[in-house]
Amino acid sequence: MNEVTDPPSPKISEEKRMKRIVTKEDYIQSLKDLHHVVYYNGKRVEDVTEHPALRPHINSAALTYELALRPEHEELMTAASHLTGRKINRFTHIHQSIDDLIKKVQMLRLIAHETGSCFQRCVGFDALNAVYMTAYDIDQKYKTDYFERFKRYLLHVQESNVMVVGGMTDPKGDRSLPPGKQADPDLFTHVVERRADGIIIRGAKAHMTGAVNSHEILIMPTQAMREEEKDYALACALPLNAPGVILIFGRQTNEERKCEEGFDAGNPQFGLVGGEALIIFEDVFVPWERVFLCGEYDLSGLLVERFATLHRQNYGGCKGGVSDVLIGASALAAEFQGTAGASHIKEKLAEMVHLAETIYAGSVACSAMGYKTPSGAYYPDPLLANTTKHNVTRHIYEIARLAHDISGGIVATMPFQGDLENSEVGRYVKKYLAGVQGIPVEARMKILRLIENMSGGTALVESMHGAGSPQTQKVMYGRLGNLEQKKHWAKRLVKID
Amino acid sequence: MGIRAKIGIKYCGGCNPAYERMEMIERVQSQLRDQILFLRYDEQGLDGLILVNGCPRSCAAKDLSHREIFCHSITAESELEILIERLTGFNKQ
Repeated sequence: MNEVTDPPSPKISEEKRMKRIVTKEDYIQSLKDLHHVVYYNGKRVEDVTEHPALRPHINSAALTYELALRPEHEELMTAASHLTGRKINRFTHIHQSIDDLIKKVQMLRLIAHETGSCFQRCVGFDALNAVYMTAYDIDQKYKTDYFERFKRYLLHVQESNVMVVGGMTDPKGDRSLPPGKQADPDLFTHVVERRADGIIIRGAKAHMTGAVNSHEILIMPTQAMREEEKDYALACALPLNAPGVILIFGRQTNEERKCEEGFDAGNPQFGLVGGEALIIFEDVFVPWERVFLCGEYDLSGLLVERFATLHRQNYGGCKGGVSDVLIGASALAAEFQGTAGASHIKEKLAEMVHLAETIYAGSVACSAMGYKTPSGAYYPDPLLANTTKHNVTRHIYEIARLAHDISGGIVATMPFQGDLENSEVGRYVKKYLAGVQGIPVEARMKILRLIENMSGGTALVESMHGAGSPQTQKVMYGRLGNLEQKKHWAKRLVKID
Repeated sequence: MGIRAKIGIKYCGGCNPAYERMEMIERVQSQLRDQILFLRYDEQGLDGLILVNGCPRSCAAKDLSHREIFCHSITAESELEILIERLTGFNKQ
């Protein structure tokens, strides 16, 4: 790391006052104005809002703005800012009560019913809450002023209503080596230069949900750090159009279907999962005002744990809601093909409901058992939140398996929409894909394509690894499971020492 | 057309409603448009309130400051007729 003082500071466009984003149209226009560097399949995307592969994800995130304006959803979609008392979008709120924690989960389920897909904005929401409560703790220990800085940043987020992507996962290179021992030091995001006006960072964040249609990123460390890894103990915020930031969109299952803009995409309006990207930071300047952890390595683990808990809290909400849609689609598929009355189909649908409600119950439970942190912000029960996410890594696969079972092999073998519409073979598709009389073949095909979209490939992997892989939850059981106390209860019962 | 009663509508958040709340309220509004002026729940000078809940948990009633006005809570689609009846009766008073 080079120590340099007082060089000319690059101006970042964050300082231009943003117009408050209120409507879906405001959001889309704000993305057009961002001019951030995005690549899709080897080509630079000039306007993300016009790209057919990105547009569904934008539509999905846009609903987080649109639903907040509807009276029938404002109870969940909005909150009163604890900083200003003003009404804000809940995705920019710091949880002030148990009720806030529960409303968060309810909100996620509600939006998932509308999108049938990921709406991305929870990552930044969780990052805001995690950094808020941890910045306070860092200040208590080190007499720094991160908390006040962060409150100013939070105010900017609440007032402008920008979409923030939470950036935690580093590429990590050789997993057997710590950050400082990697062949390439940039495999973990780190500070390469400290200056009078700010820091220069280098590295990358991987799998960033909603990144290409977010305005800013709130970076956090990817794991607990040791003293020799101080430069990797970093939390900061920056706009995604800052010089040196490059976003590379991740390839998804069947993503070319989005470009066809027909029903073969399964969920043409809202796409498939969140639209993840690799974000590269090539010597990016961050002013001190946007730095919230820099070198206080012993608190980086706490920040990671808090973000992970807050994010794992969500999964029974959003995946519960997405599962509701998949259950509905499976029931319709059965109705359309005349199997709905079969007892084994009813039993499978009941099992799907059981699994969906189980994960939702976990999210509600960890919220209900949450507590107040020293910062004043509320935090879900971490053991229950981890258990919830761990159940998601299993139950979503089982729900998808049952959806495939109910729908039949047609989900994997169905002709194209183009065949249905073809003047030569369309009549054969209509004739041989017919199910129950009176049900249009197109309706049956649409439902089956939706099931395909929601139950395979990228959608499943996201349930497995989003918010942390199953092993990370098991690590938390080891730490929070309180095995010693459990042994004590067993010994006491049988009266042994 | 006489003076229409002012009725506020307050919704729960709609996390997992058992029916389409908006469709139900649209039906009520279209049927009683000539008799009742439907407004937001936080408007001044309301004559009454409808609390529209997606389920029996009745979250629309939560955080609602006590009001000394007519208040009717619905939690299921089957309550449509009762609601229309009550609103019609209320307007006649």
